[in-house]
Amino acid sequence: MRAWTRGLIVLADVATVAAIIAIWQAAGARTASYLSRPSDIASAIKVWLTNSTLLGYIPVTLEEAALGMVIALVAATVLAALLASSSYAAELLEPFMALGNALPRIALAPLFLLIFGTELKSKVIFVATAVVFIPFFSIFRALTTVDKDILNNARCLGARRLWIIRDVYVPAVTSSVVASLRVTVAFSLLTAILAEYLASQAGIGYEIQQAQNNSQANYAMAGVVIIAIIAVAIDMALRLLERRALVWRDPS
Amino acid sequence: MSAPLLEVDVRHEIRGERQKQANLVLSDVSLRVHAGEFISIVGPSGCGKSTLLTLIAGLARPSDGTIKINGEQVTGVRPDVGFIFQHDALLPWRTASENVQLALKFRGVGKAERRRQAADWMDRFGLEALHERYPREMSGGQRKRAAIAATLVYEPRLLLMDEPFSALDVQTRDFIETDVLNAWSQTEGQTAMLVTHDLEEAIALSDRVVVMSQGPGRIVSDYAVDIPRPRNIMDVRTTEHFQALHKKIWADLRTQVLQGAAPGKPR
Repeated sequence: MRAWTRGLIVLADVATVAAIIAIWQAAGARTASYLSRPSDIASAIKVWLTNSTLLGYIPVTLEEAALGMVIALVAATVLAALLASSSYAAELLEPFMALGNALPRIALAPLFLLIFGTELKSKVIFVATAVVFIPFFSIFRALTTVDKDILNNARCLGARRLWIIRDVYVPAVTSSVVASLRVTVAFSLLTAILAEYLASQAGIGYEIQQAQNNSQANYAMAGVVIIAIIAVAIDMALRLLERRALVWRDPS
Repeated sequence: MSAPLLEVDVRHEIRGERQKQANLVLSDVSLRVHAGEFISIVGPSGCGKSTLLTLIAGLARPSDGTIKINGEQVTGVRPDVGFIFQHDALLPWRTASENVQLALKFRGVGKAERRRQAADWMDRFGLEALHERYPREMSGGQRKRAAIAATLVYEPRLLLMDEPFSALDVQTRDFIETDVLNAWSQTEGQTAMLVTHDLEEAIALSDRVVVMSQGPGRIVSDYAVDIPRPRNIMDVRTTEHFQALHKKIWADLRTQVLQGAAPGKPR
């Protein structure tokens, strides 16, 4: 893509967002009772910024999401490696993984709160179990579909087992993890906020829930907007990372 | 004559995971190849010629019989054997230069020496400008050249090639074959073994052409190619001697191909 077309697209994005905000604001006079206007949301965010509620709560949510995601990635890698290396383990465990994946895990959130309490630990465990299936299936697929010729070629060139893991399996897994990272990160954030929303003492989800309890639609919407901004920022950063890490792949 | 470098006496069947009956791929195959020979194996598709090559490479074990290289029984992949695959098997996440260095890295050769040797082989295969390219940024011919350089860089005593040129266009193929032949002739007694379905290619490159039967494969005939070297593989095909040889071997090969294609014959 040429630089100017890219610039044009960014411009179009900005214009679209501006237009939506403008229409929303204009229509807001009629709907203000149940849907906050952008100006109301903006002033709510301003209040949060000045009393530093935001600075306190954003890190709480990010910490829960990040810890949960890291645990999910590690667990997914270990599980996938186990299942991929043994056909018995695969036949034994795969139905359970499919079952776990199909379960509405979010509906189980209250159970986690009951068992693990409402502290950080509970949120992290909830995020990890909810998210683990995304990287698991992509890593398992990456491990089991490694090209036979590439493997045999590495063996013929003299690669021993450890070298094959390092030079063939690890890059294959890394690329699949990076490719699914955007979904994984988004889902981690979502589940962390959901857990906060259900029961907690801190975090963006908690803030939204409090606002709703007190019928402060402006603050509830402000929370949603903050989440959206964070999500977009992280997504853009991940895209950059993906482009760098997967430079050897066909541009998709 | 001294003992052959390669001695093959095998019978090989493959049993699928859920298959009750084993599938005979190679009925008795006996083959002797001497050091420094360039030998080609031709045969109808499905005759097991590629399987034979993977057995010699040690990538699979024969169900029956033995394969010996330099008098030692093959029990796995050997460091003195090279294998060039039909489809390019370069690591897609490594640059051309890194791919060519791989075998040396696996052998513990230092970084600077590795680079020097890889650069030397990449020069010989016309890849001097492509060191930093990833496989996806290279053409099919360039990838094939890189794969060949990656194998020749450790100077295997026995070079196995499984239809390496079949996916290339005719011009590219001629050039790469010439480079491979030059590289082989400059070695000290490297033995080359090519599996191909292209009889012209087999004759142009080899000292010997072995014809295999329709599967389950066995060796039907063994021809010496007494065309003097050095050969120009593009010109050699037009000589009378070449064409007479081609006619003779083709008669054999054709019978095998036709037998396999005959209707009603169980496979």
